[in-house]
Formats: sequence, structure tokens, C-alpha cells
Amino acid sequence: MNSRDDLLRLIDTELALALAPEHLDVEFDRLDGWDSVHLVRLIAAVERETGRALDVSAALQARTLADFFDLAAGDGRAA
Amino acid sequence: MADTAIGTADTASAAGPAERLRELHRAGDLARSFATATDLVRRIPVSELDGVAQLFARIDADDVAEHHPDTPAVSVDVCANGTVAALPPLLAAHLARSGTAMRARSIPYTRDYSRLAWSQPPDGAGPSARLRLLLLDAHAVAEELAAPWSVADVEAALGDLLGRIRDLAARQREAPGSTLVLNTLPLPARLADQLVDIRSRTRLGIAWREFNTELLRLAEAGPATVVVDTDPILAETGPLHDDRLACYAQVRLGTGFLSAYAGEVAATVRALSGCAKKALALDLDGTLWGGVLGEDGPEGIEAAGGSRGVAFQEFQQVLAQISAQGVLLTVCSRNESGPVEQVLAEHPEMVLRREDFVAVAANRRPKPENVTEIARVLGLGRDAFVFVDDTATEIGAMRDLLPDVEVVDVGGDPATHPRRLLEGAWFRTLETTDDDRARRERYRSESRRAELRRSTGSTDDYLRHLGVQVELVRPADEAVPRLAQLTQRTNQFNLTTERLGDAEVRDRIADPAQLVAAVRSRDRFGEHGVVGAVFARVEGERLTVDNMLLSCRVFDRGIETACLRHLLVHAREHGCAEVAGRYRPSGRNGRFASFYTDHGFTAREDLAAPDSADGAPATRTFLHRLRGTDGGAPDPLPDHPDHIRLTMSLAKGTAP
Repeated sequence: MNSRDDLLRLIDTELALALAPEHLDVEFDRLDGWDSVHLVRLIAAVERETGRALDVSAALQARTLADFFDLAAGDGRAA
Repeated sequence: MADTAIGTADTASAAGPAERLRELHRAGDLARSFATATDLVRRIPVSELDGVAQLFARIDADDVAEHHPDTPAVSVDVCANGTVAALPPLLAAHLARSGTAMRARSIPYTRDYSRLAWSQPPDGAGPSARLRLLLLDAHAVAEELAAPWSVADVEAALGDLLGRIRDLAARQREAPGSTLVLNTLPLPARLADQLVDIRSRTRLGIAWREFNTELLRLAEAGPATVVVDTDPILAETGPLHDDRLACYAQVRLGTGFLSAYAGEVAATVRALSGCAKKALALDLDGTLWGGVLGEDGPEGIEAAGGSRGVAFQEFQQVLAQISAQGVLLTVCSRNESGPVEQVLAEHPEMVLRREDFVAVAANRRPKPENVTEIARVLGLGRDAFVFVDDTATEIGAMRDLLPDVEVVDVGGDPATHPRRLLEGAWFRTLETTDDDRARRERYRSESRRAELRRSTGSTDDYLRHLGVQVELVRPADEAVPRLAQLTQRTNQFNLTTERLGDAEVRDRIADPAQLVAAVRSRDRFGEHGVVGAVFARVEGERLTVDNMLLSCRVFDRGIETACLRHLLVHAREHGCAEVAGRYRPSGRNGRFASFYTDHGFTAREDLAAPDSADGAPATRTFLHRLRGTDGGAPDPLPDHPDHIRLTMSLAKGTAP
């Protein structure tokens, strides 16, 4: 998972949510169709896909998908 | 529903079932096309259901009801002491597999089970329409423990929890119209391993089992409460959870566990609503025994002996076990009935015997027709049947043409046949009665009165649906071993039973006076590879077909007719005046004794080889005239079967 597009694709296949790039910066509680379980599912999916372990506690603290992406892409790359 | 079958057939694309479900979801059509969605989700192995579960979570049961008023729906209250947000989607997908829509509600968890805010069933509702799931993990006990704790503390916590659950189950008996679903508590290693002495660990094990046993007893009291035994689930899935997700997000039951649990709940729904399947339609070759009866003969099949015989023996034992509980066994095979009856009656290694089957359809008709016929004879609906086969084409055709029949694919190692058959829990009922156990006898006499009719014709619909494609080609070098194998192993459609080795096949291909053709075949369900061969030679104006072979896997599709017709056309185009065909009876190929005369050839006794000295049967020769002689017309060409697309490329030096 190297790009935000990869993340959006993963969200589409794993969560059956068709999101647009601008949704990545929307806070979860204002994101239509989002529910807390999605984050758990996404963590498992990213770990499966990348073969790397995420910092789960930090990932669960993410407020937006952009936050999550920064964490999942590792090394705090610029969003 | 019939429209599903046609729809599925017409829209068959390269996309797999999961992708096609996603397409329906993106188009917002899942509820409107719920019948198609259930048909597709049944094609996905249970172990991969998690990948599409999210799609089913989005289906609104009211939308389904609007488009399909007859679709059963179940309301499920989900109450769990941990995070089980993955459960409703998995449950929706499992229920969809049995054609049921779901309305799920999440009920907030509280330790005081008398105050759980279950939804109230409408008056007069049946127990199958509404489930109340109280899904507990070991944290329900662990949260009662203060560190440091002893086994006595665990025993006390278990006792307290059992008391609360017993009260809940007692109240459930007074609340008709719904069913309470409990589960035995998995014992996590985390808990047991915190005890360092063996004696305490033993006591914990005893206390835990006693608690679970008492829970199971609650289900003995009557159908108002069901207890899912999680031991078999734990044996098949694992680990129970991911430590990080359990710790930070309270996901203490992982997806693997939840999917299997959802499967149990769906099976419970089927049992409560009386939708259990009643009968099995079993393929034989590769399913009930190893090998191919028509080729290997009764002595060559593996029912217990041979390297994999033990696997087929175990599978037959499983079938005998479920048959004893009232599930009807029937045979649905393309073998000829004579040898099948012989094996069922006499084969020393068979666990199952002729009297274990209430109907045996062993004939050349398409399997969907046979299942329809068996259902008619037994007076059952087709939706009461589970069809078991190891061949992709048979499985695909059954799914497309009879979507109301459940299909179990046993295409893998026979050691996994029992798991494939049982994992769907298609036969789950509330209880079996003496009547169930006597059912087999009742049906057997029934079907004796109405023996399945035999026919040699194949249905046009079935064949058109298969989309058979045939290539008649000059063999590439890598096809040589397969061609040699066909001559050595094929017995039924092997017109002269001439066995050839690799080198002989290679020589014939290289010989300019010889014509060797490989028959390749595929259909919409897969590639069959090289399934047949023609060995012929040219002498002047005559093409003589020394031998023609076809694997019994692709009988009854008109492939042999299409090949012969195109061979005749090919010979005519290359200036031949006649084609001769040879047939030598072998004891195994009698079914095709009239192959040439059926296709416009005339037997020519004057060309027959004399009986050999050792008494082997004589080879007979048949002629097809491509040109009229003495003003007469040429012999008519056999019709090309219009359901077959055939391409031919036999280009080669001087011979046709």
C-alpha cells in the first residue's frame, strides 16, 4: 500500500465503501457510512496486504483515514 | 427461482462470484437481485465468505421484501460482551447462502441479563423468525476476577454467570416467538496459562467444562434456547483472537471464529424453520470411489484399497452415518447402470450397499435432468437436494441450470470430502425421530415403483448451456504422452483398442502417410485438455480410420459426431473418395459397436479381417462414400451438432 489510491481501493474491496480522495480528510464521526469496526477491519487488511505489523493502538486513535494512511505507510510520510 | 438460472447463464462472465457480487453492490442492486446474490454467495467457499460479508451487511431486508415478497427474513438481536461488529455481516452472508434475508439489531450489553433490551416479537410470530444471540467470551468470567485470583475465584465467577444465564433461559421459555442462542465459553490459553501449578490447571479445566456442560443442558430443556457448542469451532479455527485487537478494541473473538459461529446460527435458523435438506445426489467416480468405473472396471476402482482408498472409505462411512439419521442417499452418475448396480451389490470394499440408496440414476442423461427426475420420483422438491460432484463442469452446470439444488464441490483430495460435505451443515434439524430413521425404507419402496426412465438423448438446453468448444488439431509434441495414455487407458470409446506407446505415437505423427489428430475440448466451466484422438492413414483415395478414442469424461455431448463429420469433410476436401472406419469388439466398447453405421457408414463384410487364430474377435470395417459412384449419391454426412463450436487445423505435408 503505497498511495492513497491503494488505500481507497482497499477500502472498496474490504469494506464495500466507495470513497473519494476528499473523504480521506473527513473526521470519522462525520464520514457517511463509517463505523468503528471498519477501522479494525482495515488494520487487519493492511497487515495482510503489506505483511507488516501496524501499531494497532496508534491506528485505533486515528481521527481520519489520512491519519491512518500516514501511520500505515510508515515513517510519517507527508500526507 | 427460474429467472435466476437464466440470468446467471446469460450474464456468465469471466468474473468470479465475489466480483459479480461487488458489481451488484456498486450498482445498488443487491436487494433487488437478492435471488442472484444468494446464488452467487453459495459459489464462494465458506472459508472465503469474509471477503464478501460486508456487501451483505448493506442489504436492507425491507428492500428485499419489496422486490421478493416470498423471501424469508429473520430478525436477529445481537448482544455480546465484547466487540463483535464483524458478526452481523458474516451472519447476513451465511443466511443469504440459505436464501434468507436478515434484520440485525445490536443490543447494549449489561451484566444484569434480566435488563437486556431485547426487541419484542410481534404477536403470533414463530420461533424461527427472531433470534436473540447472547454471544459471550471468557471476559465475562475474567472481568469478575480481582488480581491475584485463584481457581476458587474462577469457580465462583462461573457459578454466578451460570445463575444469570439460567434465569435468562427460564424467562425465554415464557417468551414465545423468539429463540435464545447461547454459546459454550472458549477457555483461552491466557487464562489457563496464568496458573503455574498443574493441579490448579486441572481444577480450572474441570470447573470450566462443568460450566459449559450446564450451559448445554439448558438447550436440552426445549427449543426455546439453543446453545452453540464452540469446541468444534475452536478445533477448526484459530487463534481465537489477535492480542492487540483484543486488548485495544475488545475484539476478543476473531473473524475465523465469528464466521464459523455465524454458520452455526444460520444452520439453527434452517433447523428452526424446517429448511434442512433431505437428500443427497451423489456422483460416483472420484466422489464415492477413486478412479473411473467405465475405464478401470469394478476391480480397478478404489473404494478402500489402493493409495487413496481409505479416504473414500471414510467418506462412505460419513454418508452411512447421516443416512442412518434420515438423509436420503441417491446416485447421480454418468456411468452405465449395469456396472454401477454390480459394484453396489458385490464390490467387496464398499461401505455403502445398493439398499442404502433410495434411487440410482446411472445413465447418459445430463445430471440436472436426473436430479429433477429423482426429486419427482421421491416426491421431494429440488430444493431438498444437495448434489455432490468432483467435476467442475457438472458442478457449474448444476448451479446454473438448477439453482435451487445445493451443490457441494469435492474437487480436492478425497481426504477432504467429509469436511466439504459437512461444513455447510445442510442437514441440521432440531431433532431426528424414529420416522426419520425409517424414511429410507419408505422411499426405497416408493422409488422401486417408479424406476427412473433411461434415455440416451441429451437435452438441448443443457448442451447449449455448456458452450462446448472442440478443436481437432495436429498434435504438438507435448501432447504425445497424453495421446499414448488415451490409447492405453481408454476402454469404452476406443474403437479398436489399439494400445500405443509414446514412440509409436510420435512415429505416426511424423509419417507423411498417417493422419493423427488430437481432440481438445473446453466448455464454459473449464478446460478439459486433450480428450480424444484419431489415428488414420491414407491409401490412394481412401482414408482409413485405424482408431478413434474419446475420454468418458466428455461422453454424450456430440463431440464424437462433430469430429467424425469434420474428418469426413477434411478427407473430401483433400480428394479422398471414401473413408473407412474400423471397429474391433473388446468387451468394454460394445456401447459404440454401431458408431459408424449410426453416422452413415455401411458395414463391409468383404473387408472384415478374419478371426485371428487365438480366437480374438474380428475387426469390422465400415465405409462412407464421399463421391457418388455409378450416378448414385454420396453417403450423407452426419449433421454437425449445433451446440458445438469446432475448429480444425490438421495442416500437414502431403496427407490430408
